[in-house]
Amino acid sequence: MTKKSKKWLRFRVTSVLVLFLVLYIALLSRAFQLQIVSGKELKSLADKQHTKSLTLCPERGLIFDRNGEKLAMTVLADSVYIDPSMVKKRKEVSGKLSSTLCLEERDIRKKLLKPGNFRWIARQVSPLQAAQVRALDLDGVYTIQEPKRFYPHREMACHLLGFVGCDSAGLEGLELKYDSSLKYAPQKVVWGRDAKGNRIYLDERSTTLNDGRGHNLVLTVDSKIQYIVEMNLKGAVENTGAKGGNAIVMNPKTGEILAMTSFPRFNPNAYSQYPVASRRNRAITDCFDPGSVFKPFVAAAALEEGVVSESDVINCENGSYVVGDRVIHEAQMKHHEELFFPEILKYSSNIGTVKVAEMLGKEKFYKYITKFGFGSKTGVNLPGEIGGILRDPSKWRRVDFATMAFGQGISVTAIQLITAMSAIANKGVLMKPYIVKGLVNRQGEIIEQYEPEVVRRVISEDTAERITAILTDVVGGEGGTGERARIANVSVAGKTGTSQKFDFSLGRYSSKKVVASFVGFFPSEDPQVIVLVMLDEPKIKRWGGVAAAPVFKNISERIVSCYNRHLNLPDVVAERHAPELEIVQASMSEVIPRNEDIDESLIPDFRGMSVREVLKVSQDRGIDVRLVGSGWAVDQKLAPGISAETDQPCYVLFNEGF
Amino acid sequence: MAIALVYVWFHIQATRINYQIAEEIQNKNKLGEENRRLKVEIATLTSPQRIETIARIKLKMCYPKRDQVVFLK
Repeated sequence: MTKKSKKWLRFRVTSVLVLFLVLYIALLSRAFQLQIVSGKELKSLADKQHTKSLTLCPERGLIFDRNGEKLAMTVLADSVYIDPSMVKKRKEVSGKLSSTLCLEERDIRKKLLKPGNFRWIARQVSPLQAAQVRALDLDGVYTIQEPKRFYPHREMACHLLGFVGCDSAGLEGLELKYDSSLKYAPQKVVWGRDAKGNRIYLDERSTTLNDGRGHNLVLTVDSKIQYIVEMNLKGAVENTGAKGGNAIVMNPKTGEILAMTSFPRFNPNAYSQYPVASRRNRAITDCFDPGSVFKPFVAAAALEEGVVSESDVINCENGSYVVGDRVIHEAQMKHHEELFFPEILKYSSNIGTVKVAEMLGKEKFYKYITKFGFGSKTGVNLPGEIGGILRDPSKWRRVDFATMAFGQGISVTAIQLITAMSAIANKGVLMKPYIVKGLVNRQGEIIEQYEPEVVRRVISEDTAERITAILTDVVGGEGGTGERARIANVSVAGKTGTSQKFDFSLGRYSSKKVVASFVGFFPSEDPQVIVLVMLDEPKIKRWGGVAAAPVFKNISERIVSCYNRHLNLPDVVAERHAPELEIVQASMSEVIPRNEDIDESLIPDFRGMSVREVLKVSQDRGIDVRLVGSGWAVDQKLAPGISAETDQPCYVLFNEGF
Repeated sequence: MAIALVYVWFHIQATRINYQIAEEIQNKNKLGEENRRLKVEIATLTSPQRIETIARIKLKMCYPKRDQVVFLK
């Protein structure tokens, strides 16, 4: 090898080496750039390609009544959106969408012209409309499933439940008040995607974002009673031509609200179609002059202070009594000469009540009505409650004090009124009304439970019993104003009320616009239920005793029929389970003598009897029967002929195919 | 070599199972949705308003009077 060729070889080796070195450095720097400089960014881009996230429908907590009946739940509804950048034929898209979804074509076109790649067209459309939109198969138009709140009972308890907006936020009622407990953050599941786009489960990357709690709410409301109350109030509002009305049913011993309704109602599934006024829960947000329903509180204060007793006679001035510059008359221009103290409530004498209040004095009167809770919020767990209007006693003129005694010139809410009357029913102890029994999680475990809360003792037990006795006479006594509230076999204590409404256009109390009301509880010896009925501006039957008392009677009768007076209200917090019934096997039993049919102390042979006959016979003989099935009796657990005086219940099996 | 094969085999199995899990989760979600839909249907069908309408109009039923109600012990 010559020297020249050796040199040439070295040159070639060196240049190849340099070339490789340069390439190697270039490779390293590229790797450095990819891995370290922009590594994070690229990794996230790759993840986007490899994975797909799926958002699971966030299920807002349910709302149950006290028996586990569902009052509010969540369903999935389709919403339609567009990606304007993907839409090519704008005219066709806007035309077809407007006809399918009943929307203005102009609005859709406006949305199509806007930049960006996401615009809502219609939210929560019906399944039919969504299917039609999908069938159109338009470029850039998509549907997506969104959770929607659904109220299966429609208008029932609408004011209590409230409603939820498009973005799953509570806007009214309990949905608003307990929004943070009910709402549930969307849950995300991340999938891996292979080359073909199939899904692979990636355990370590599954992410769940749960900051909302999604607890279920259990109310004190009994949907059966709520339904009874709403149907009866609806009928009364329609029959009397009233502008609206309220009704509340409560357990006076605990303050649990069993039903609460206001009219007009609305359908929370389509709340936007109703005027704002009908969405208001008038039982807590509106106040009215109570009228004569207020008198028992004055009487209770007077009895408690010992200024009067049942045997005292009050001079009722023969129907006109001058106070300051005004003359006070009796309702319906009645004339009472002299009345015993209890008769003042029985006949609802205005003058008598004014005199009792005057004996009591302004300060004590004020002390007791504030103790009964008037003038301050009851603290019920519903949003929007007001405290009514109770002016400072230093600003009362003599006539103001006088009219206030019979419930004019003081404004109260329905919830205040029933809570105060509950104190009389509950032996003088004022309870805080409440509507939420508790919160439970998805597994049915109790998260929070609300217990009855005593506010204060207002009057002594003795006074409460004496007032209850007087109020029982208002309903049960001959000629009492509450006669129409009587229920067979159950003693009712209650008071009617008719008050004039303040006419703001005239600046005085209207003689035409009235509020008719009735508050009563039963059975008066051991009050289980208290009911308030209030009708706003009834046009026909304008008196509380005529308009509101029969509604009270209808509601109460139905409650008694459903619960047999002993409102054994179950403490169910979880979902309802089917009652367990012991099924008695149908079998042929041996021939037995029939003397048990004559002998009243023996179990009869029920076979072949109808349910009605079995009930009648067993009631006559005092047998504790349990009925299984319907139709005609085919078998019984206790054999005919044995003594009826047994502790065991007698199961009777019925079959329709007998 | 054998160890490498076993390793690959395990890996393939794991991927296969991951596909199955993904499918089952989707299935579960679908069934959950179906279940929810049925619950809504139950709640709607048991609504007292609906029951009363059927009882009154279709079955010609009415509320019992007070004396027609018999209480069992």
